[in-house]
Amino acid sequence: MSMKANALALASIVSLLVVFSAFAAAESTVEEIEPFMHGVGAQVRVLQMEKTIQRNIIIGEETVKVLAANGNETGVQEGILSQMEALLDEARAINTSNKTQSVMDFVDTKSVAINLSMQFRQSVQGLLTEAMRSEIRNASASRIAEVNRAINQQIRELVRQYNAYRVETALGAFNISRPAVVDGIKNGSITMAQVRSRVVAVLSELAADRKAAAVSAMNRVRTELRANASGELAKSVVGALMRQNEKLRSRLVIANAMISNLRERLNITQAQGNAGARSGRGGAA
Amino acid sequence: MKKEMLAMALLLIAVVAVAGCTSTTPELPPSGGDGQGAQVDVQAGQAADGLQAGLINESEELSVGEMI
Repeated sequence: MSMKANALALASIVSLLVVFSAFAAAESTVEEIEPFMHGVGAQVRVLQMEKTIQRNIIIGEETVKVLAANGNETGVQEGILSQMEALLDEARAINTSNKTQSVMDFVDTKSVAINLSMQFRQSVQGLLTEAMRSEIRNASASRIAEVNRAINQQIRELVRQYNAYRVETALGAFNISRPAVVDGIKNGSITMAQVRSRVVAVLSELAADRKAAAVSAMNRVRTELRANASGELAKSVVGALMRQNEKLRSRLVIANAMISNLRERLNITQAQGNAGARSGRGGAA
Repeated sequence: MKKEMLAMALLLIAVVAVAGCTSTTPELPPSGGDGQGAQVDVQAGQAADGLQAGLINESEELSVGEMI
């Protein structure tokens, strides 16, 4: 191959990487990334990620159980679920004290979670009847509720801390201090719906010229924060596919080790599959 | 023919004039202290809206797509 052809091939690969990376980042928005500018907000996003991956794993496991009980081979789905389990561990390990790294990890994890969920969805297409879907939803609901109970409490506490911090910072940009409002948001006595009127009330106490300056300071804080979030999101685009490929290798090793564990946990045996195969084939939508 | 064209032109001018009279014109804020005060109040509301938009809703969910 000539030098020119080599260069062309390399350019094509780089272009593909850039395009794929752009897709990966497009799945996350500035609004999602904004909380990463403050550690507590990053913890909220990571917990939300954990929650949604856990939810999908539970639905996936119930789907595998139903498919196996109806005699379907579930190797592909188990493989995807094992990868999702490994991804969940990756999400839990995101270090929220490093802003740039945690944004990258969040963007990557979300992109992979979307991809694995889509693969699973496609793998069961045509295998599930409406009755099976209903059975899966019913069986998943109580398990999801149980898992969510603990994580929702954690998220609620952190969201209140984060919101209180944001209001404190916004008012603090013009040296306004209102501990009663900040504490009210922290302890939940001031709801999110009431924050606006409380902030307007604080501003209305000021003389017109001070009020205008305070508004300007608040807007400046918000603009800077969004610009920072936007910058971090843009940084996460660079090399996203290469990072994801590196993680994929180690995830697959972990996932392979997890498969037998998963089969045991779901109580899927060859005998069960065979019995189901004799009685349950056909009738899938 | 000329008369018809003239009538059409007059009709068009009349329609434009009526439309111009009935269209709403933006009200300018009154100059002086009260007007500026009201404007600052609007800006304060907008700043509070901006602040609220940056907060996280406790019930907010992150989605990575459905499994089935």
